[in-house]
Amino acid sequence: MYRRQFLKYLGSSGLGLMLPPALLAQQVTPDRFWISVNAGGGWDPTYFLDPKGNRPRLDGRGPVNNYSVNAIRSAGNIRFPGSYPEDIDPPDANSPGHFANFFPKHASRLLVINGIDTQTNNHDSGSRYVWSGKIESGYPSFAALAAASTAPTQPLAYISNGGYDNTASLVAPARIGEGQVFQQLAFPNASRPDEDAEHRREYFAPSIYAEIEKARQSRLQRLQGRATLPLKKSQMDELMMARVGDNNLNRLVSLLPDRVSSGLEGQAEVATAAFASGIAVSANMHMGGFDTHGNHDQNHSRRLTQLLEGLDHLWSQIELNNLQDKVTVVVGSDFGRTPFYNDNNGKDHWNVTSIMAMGAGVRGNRVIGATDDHVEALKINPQTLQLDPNGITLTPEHIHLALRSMAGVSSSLTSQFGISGPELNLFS
Amino acid sequence: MTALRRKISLILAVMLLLTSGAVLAGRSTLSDGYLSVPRIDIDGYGAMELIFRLEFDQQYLLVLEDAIETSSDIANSGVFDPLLGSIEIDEIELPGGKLYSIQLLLMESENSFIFSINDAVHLNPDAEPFPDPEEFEPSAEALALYGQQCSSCHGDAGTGVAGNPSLAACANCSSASVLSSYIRDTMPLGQATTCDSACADVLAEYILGEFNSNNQQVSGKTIGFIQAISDSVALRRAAQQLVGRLPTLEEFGLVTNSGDTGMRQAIQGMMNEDEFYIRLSEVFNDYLLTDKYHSRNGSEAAIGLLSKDDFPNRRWFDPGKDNRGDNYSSLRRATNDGVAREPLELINFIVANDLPFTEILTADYMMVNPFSARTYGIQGLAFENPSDAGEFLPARLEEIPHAGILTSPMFLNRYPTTSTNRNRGRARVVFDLFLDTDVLAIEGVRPGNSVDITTPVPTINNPECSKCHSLIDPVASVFQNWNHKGQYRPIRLSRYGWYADMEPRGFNGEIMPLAGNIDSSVRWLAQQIATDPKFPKAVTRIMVNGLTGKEPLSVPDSSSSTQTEIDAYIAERTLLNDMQARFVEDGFRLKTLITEIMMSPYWQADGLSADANPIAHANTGASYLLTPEQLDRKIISLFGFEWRRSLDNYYKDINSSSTSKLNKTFHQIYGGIDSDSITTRLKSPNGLMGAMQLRMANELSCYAVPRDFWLPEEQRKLFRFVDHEMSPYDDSGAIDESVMTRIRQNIQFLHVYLLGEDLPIGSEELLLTEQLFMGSLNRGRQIILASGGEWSDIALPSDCDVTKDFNGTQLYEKDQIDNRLVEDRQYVIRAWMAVVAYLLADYKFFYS
Repeated sequence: MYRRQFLKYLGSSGLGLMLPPALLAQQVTPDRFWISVNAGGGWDPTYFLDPKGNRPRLDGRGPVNNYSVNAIRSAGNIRFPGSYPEDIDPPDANSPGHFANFFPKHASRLLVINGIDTQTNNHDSGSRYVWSGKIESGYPSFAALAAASTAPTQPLAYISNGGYDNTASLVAPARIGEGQVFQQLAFPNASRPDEDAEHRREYFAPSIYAEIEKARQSRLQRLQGRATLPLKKSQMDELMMARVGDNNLNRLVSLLPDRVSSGLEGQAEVATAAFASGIAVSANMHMGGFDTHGNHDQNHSRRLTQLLEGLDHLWSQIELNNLQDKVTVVVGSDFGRTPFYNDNNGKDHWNVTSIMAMGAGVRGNRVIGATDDHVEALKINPQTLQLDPNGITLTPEHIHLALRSMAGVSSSLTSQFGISGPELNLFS
Repeated sequence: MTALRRKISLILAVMLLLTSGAVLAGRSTLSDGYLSVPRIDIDGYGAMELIFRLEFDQQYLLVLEDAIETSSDIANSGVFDPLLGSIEIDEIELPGGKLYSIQLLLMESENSFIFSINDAVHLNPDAEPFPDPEEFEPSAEALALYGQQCSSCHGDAGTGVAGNPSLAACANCSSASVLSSYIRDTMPLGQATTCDSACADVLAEYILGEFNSNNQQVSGKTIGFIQAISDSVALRRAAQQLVGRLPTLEEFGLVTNSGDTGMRQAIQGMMNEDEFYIRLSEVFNDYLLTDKYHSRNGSEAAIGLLSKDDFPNRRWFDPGKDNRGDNYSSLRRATNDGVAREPLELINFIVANDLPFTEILTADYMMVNPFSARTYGIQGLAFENPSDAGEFLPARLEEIPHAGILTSPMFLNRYPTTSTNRNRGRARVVFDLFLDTDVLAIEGVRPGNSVDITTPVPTINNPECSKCHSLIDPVASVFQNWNHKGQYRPIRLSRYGWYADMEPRGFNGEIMPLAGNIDSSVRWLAQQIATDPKFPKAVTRIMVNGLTGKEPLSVPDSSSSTQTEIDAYIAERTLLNDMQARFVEDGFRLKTLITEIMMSPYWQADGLSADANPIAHANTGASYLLTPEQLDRKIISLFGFEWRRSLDNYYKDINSSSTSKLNKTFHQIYGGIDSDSITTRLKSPNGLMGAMQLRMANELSCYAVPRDFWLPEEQRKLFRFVDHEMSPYDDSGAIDESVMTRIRQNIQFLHVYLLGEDLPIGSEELLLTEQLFMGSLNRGRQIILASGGEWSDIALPSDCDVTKDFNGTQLYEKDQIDNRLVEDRQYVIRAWMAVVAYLLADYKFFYS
């Protein structure tokens, strides 16, 4: 039974009053994890995942890209531009985010899906569609759904660093802020939380603090027992769940680097440490700046470099924590960008986009779907996944149906937040 | 005490009524599920106001809730017959304007006074009514028109399809004339000219009769199950929410003596305080998000948006890198925030001066403080204190056609545009924030090829595109005189002009007349919005969210909602429509709307009666997780300091506003927003937030308890009945009952002071808190005993002891009197710390 329904049921039936708190807060230690990486603003797949090059368009709108067609390379089955447009400052040749470094290193584990029609060029709608699988509002992000389906009561079940993070009230999203404060939260009774255990010093003697904590929990149960408003009951239930897991934060602290990085790298460090400590199920990583209506080539190149550097760091953290068989990473954006340049050397919004995925459950070194020279989505056969003019156009619905299947999202959640369409075997 | 006094006065009043004959006519009102009878004269006692709660239990019942002495200046309202046990009420005005005369009959008078409605006469049947359901027979014309114009979006049953709203309790259904004009001007969306006045009249009558005739009954029945919080709790909640403090004795007096009238007066009084406007800005910034440009997000985040060409004096405070004085940073901050806060200060100014709230859009001025005035080159303003960055005055920029928030550089930059977006993003935000219309939800099922580059002008010629663009593009065109940087640049002076392939400037199907508006089209738009019935609905949505922590219920999905969920929506929406109507009637005075929300049964809900359906009340109530800013203010009001660090070091940053842990270290973790990349608040606690609450409770108890004991008795906030050497054990080790009495009194006081819980001595909760106190004290004494009195066990934790005053002065110098508080030999201080840490971690502390 999913949490919202469970809470609603408790609230309406009064059954919650009879359940012991230990049962209410029963926790499952997750062993399967999910990361969504959002390139906010609408990325340009033709710049890297679905390369077209500078061949002029037949309709006279100019080339799709400003880098040479001859620069397009392959790493296994993954095609990418090996160099950048000539009139911009390229990234450092040693950067792990440079295309020529990133794709050869990761191609064997990369799945690229091109030609996904988001049916919108609006940021809100696109972001919602790509990350929930529905263009209508009110649907949870996939990461929230995965957390709700596995272990919604874990203290950091769903970590959000921004982007589309609607949870439909299934789980409480957690925001991280400064990574350095985890010590303070892991040891709430310590006046010197940054010190080692011997020197932490406590506000209350342990035996007295245990009594205080016990009294707090009992009080919350009594209040809940007296409440008759469903809203208050559910708030008290949420508070109970939020308080249960505090002792587990020390496991997370022990796995964090001494100094948490900034940007995507820091988000990756916290997420993987939280997975490894068993207190989180999923995380949104997020960086913005892809909405390059002006000076597209230069601005987009910088953002893509940062994004790929962040992904490279994420993978190194996943390996560091020995989670490569347990973490699935999906990378996407609001939509794509026009297959031509505007008057400001920028690119506007385009409905066709791509995603990439790596990690557990993802068979790499593959490209599914494609676009034509004008970056219109081409149809694929739903069984063979090969291009087929009589097939179907890929949409975010197909991606999410496959993701939900891979994550084993419960049937009650699947039915409550239904997505229609054929289920394609996209990832394995 | 308050509740007891009110109960006594209620019983007395009803006894008086039952033994008296009473008189004459006046006008009573029925709204929000309550019947208010302004005055009945009682021989020997004078005028009494009666308040009844409407309930539904097989039939409509009126439960007497309150009887209050009232002024003899108020006209009489009815006749009480003590022999029959009846009350004749001569005129009752219902929402929508119906007038009835009714007779009430007393059914029960043992535990409460419950009346049935024995008779009712409709006094103004010719007035514009809601058709009675049994009387309503739709005409063939109405059915045909509805089928042609409305049903594709609103469904045959009026319940809405594909994201389009239900027509039950619709926002513009307050009367047939309002609804008719709304339909005539706006419907069907994007094709408003297809339904003229006659068509709109027919449809309005049909919609009210077919889908809305039961709204009041549904609302009354649903609300009847709600049990309200006590007046003292309501007052505390109001003070906490509006001004971040505890109620004053005067406010308690108002409520005690004058009931609801006093409560309204207290709320109105709070809205005259400066602190109210801090909260008001937060409420509106949660939607406008213009605090993105506050100096917290960059020293010159706002100034940097202003063009040097337009405002050459924008960085007036900078004499050059080598000549900057000590006040450079503070001047820069004051200037930046003067610019950044302009739209929010406009709202504050309008509310503080009781101006129509529509002026947030129509104001032909902007707001500046003494510092931003210099940036804009505005001179001659009569600031009371030219050094006060918090003082804002209205001002005008020459040749700029101001239109309130809509032409604020902050708003225009927060919602920027591009040469291809063409102000559509701005139009979408205008619809969302000021018209409560999500244009993205209109889209429904999208066409297969949503980016059409083959149709010459798809936004006009492709019907799949024009469905939405015909609504937003005219509004987008209205902004054509304001460029992507928010600068005023009349497009007719531009070499290129506005896009020929865009819809002309307009709103709701009306094309803007060019004469007189060509360079000031946003001002024209502001006037249109100000008269649109969706504007008060949009404001209500924002204020309901600000006061209850959640937006009003969404229109139920007709395909998956139960009748109970639909009824819950109708009940709430009907009530909100009434509040909106009062807001409009009172000249769009925002304070009226706020007061109405806070007086409503939803805001004052404390519980439900046993037979209530909880599903119908899933959204009922106004408790919500306090924001970090609100929690910070609450801590200051209770303790006199922020949650920062040890109070011995507090003096170091006593004048800084940036070191509160809730405003900095934990702000984002605890669900705060930065108005930039994080724009939605967390409303449910997660594991990190739960841990932060515990740390905060532990730390604050450590800082507050010893410090409070150290203060002279008359300055203490927490310990009014005990001191730190007052052990419950006497010298022989026996319980000292006189001390225990004082300990119990202080525990009782702490429950009231910290949690707003007024509990009698001997109640379960107070006994359990006493157990914690005694348990902690006994365990602590055992620890000291076991160690043989080790200093580390006797001493207070070093962060908790008191060795300096608030000015940083050492409290002990060699050979001087030792004024420190560093030891706790009886473990009394730490036992009280345990009690305070327990209470500070409570649900009632963290939720409104």
